[in-house]
Amino acid sequence: MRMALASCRRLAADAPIMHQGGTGDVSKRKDGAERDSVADPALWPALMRRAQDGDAQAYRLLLGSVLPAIRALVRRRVFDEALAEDVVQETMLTLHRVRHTYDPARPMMPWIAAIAATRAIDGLRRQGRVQRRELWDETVLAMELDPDAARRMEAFAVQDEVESLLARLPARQRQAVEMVKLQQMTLDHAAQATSQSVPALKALLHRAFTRLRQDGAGENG
Amino acid sequence: MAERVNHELLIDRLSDSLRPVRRPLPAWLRALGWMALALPCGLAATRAIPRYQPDWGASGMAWAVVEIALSLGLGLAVVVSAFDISIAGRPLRAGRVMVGLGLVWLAVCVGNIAVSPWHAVRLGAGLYCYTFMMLASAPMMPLVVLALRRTRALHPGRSLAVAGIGIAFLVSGLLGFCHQGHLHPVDFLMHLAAGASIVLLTTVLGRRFIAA
Repeated sequence: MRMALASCRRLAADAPIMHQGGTGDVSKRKDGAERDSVADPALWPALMRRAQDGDAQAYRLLLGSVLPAIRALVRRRVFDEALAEDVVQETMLTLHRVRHTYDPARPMMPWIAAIAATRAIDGLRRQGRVQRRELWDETVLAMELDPDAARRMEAFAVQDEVESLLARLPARQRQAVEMVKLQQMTLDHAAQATSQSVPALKALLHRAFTRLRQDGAGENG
Repeated sequence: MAERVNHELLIDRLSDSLRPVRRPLPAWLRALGWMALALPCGLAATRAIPRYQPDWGASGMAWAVVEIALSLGLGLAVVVSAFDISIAGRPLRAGRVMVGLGLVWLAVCVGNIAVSPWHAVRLGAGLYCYTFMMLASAPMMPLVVLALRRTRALHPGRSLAVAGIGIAFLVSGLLGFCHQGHLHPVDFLMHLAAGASIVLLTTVLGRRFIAA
């Protein structure tokens, strides 16, 4: 317990101090927005007393000042960046909800540290539960979002493969295959469209299929 | 490393929604106030069943008097602790002292059992004690949950369990005023069973209401 208290004090001392004078002073940011300066940890109990009495400016200054300490406390337990920031927010909300329980006669860091530790453990437990129950599978996710996705993805894959095989054929052979097999034209119509005889078209198709079989066997084993 | 989230919007919202709050009284004062309300309510609830009037001059009543004093004292101390530990950053104080007093209470009960005349176990033995304790604790449990709701608790289960133990000791003290001086093992077991039921019920019923 003594060690925990000492570590809290060290953390409070480590928090950056921009302003050590009276409370409630505000500095102007470069963008013109008003932002409270950071108060000395020794002033936190007095600020909280004023906040408990309803002084919003003192409260704003206090919350801005304790934020680095809360973040440091949370980061000791939570290593995931996004979760740590969630836990920091949860800690601030809890601190707000139970602000009346703080006794200004006591040091503030043990009070904040207890809240931060509890919220960090809650956050880790929640993350653990989610990780145990959820599966991250892109195919399954795509199927959930669009049940027809698998069929379409398969069709795309087949189309890609056919296009790559056809691209290797000479232009005349490719044209013959496309007309007869893909556009499903009759041999007569295809022969007329390409100004050649039907036997010549059949010979062209034969050579094309022989080549396609060789290429397909080479790729797919 | 991901960029740190800017919490200024949250700070602004919290500051804008700030209202003055009243700090809770010291735990011992709250516990005394709670007891002043809860004990009469608990006693009134036991009017639902007939009350046994002990003979204070009978042999063995000295054990009962010590047991009552220990039960009420321990009950108050444990309820004070429950109110105290419900506040963030307050550890359980004087835990060893309370455990020590609890062991003394247990020794007194065992001593009372040892010196009490032995009689055969009757059907339904200890049922009166169990019913009395559950009836007496019935108004105390919601009252302690309401009192703890004032401060809320980061560990509601722990605070409520400690509060439940305090209630169990207090109703055990109340039972002493309506119980014969001698203690039978079955009676004592039913006292313990009632205590366990009170702790369990207090924890289960109040958990959701006092969570911070």
